[in-house]
Amino acid sequence: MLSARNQFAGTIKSVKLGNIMAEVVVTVGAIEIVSAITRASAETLNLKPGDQVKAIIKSTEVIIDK
Amino acid sequence: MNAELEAQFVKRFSNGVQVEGNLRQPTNRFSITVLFGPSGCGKTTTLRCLAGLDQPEAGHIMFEQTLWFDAERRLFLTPQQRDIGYLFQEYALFPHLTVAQNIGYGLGRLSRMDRRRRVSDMLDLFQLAGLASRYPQQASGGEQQRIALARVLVRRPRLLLLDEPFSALDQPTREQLRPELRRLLNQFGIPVVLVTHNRMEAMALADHLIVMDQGRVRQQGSVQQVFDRPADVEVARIVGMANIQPGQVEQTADGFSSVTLDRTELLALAPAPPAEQVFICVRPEEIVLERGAASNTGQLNCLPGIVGALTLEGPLVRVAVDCGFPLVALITRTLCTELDLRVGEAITALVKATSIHLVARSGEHHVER
Repeated sequence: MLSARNQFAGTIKSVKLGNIMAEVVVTVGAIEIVSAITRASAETLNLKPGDQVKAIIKSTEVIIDK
Repeated sequence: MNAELEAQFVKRFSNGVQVEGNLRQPTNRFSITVLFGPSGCGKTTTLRCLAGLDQPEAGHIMFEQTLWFDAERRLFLTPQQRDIGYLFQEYALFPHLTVAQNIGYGLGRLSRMDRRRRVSDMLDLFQLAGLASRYPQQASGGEQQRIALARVLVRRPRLLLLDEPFSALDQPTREQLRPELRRLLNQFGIPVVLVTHNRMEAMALADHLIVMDQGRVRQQGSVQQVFDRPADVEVARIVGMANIQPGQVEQTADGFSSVTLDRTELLALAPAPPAEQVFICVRPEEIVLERGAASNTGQLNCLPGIVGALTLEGPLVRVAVDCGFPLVALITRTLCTELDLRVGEAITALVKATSIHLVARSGEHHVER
């Protein structure tokens, strides 16, 4: 179990590999969550479109706009 | 003999504000004392009193065997008599004089030949030779900083005082120039007192760090002592309560630097690490904890450890983890309950490579004067 309040189960829509970083778009219901992780992590997890994953966001990192 | 600067004074302002200066620094070699704290904490006032630009109401300032100020004896030396160098925030260069003329400005007493030689030495040392006959406004921000420093140092003052030397520069230039400034100053063997409100600057430049708040010195010591073990909550708030550990860059490849800390290896997203000896910095908010061993999150940095202590901090809980080195994570109270964290239990700290910040650590080797 992870110490992060917000854990969203979703499907990977796209994985864009850069030289160092990877941009992973996860579809959760009607919304899309973009994650910037290292290319090494993306490769370790062998991420590809269609994979079932969880997007995890620490509550201290969420910004609220009104 | 007593090769040190020793100051203990009180400066009172008419609006009731009071600043208590208190510092001690060796003067026979290069070292940087950083006065650090939020705006209005009294750090610039302290610097101005050391310079002789402001006169305190009580106390004394002693440089080696010379009294610069003593309230009881009604003794007060001017900045010229103290023979200090002072770098103003905006550098205060003369716009109508060339770079070479700016640097030579304070050398009126010397013969023309001596003056020319001293200026030319400084132009070389500060890599300004190509700009000698240009005007300051034609130089970049970083070059202007070097011109201003050259103008102050050409007189070889006994003490160098720098007031927010990077505030006139943009962020990328700042980060680039920090190690450069230290390297340049080190060649002169002159003790430096520097004022900043920027944590990264304080961390990268200080041999001795003085934290000030509301007109008083709250804590002083080495960077690690202060950042790692803030004396009280106020200091912790000022320094930002980060995880700061000394480490060493082992290798850099493909945009990553691997750094070691005791026997732990960490991967940081750092295509160009600032130095070989670094402080490894991680904000406690950015650490994710997992009960027991690590599951498959693909994280590059999984640090096994033991829960050392749980402390309530408002809606958050501060979790101290012993990973072979101390690491602090901040998580919400609800999660702490859900995870059922207990002292003494095994835990894994997950740290994203993008959350690890490397800051150059000042070396211990200084030139003796």
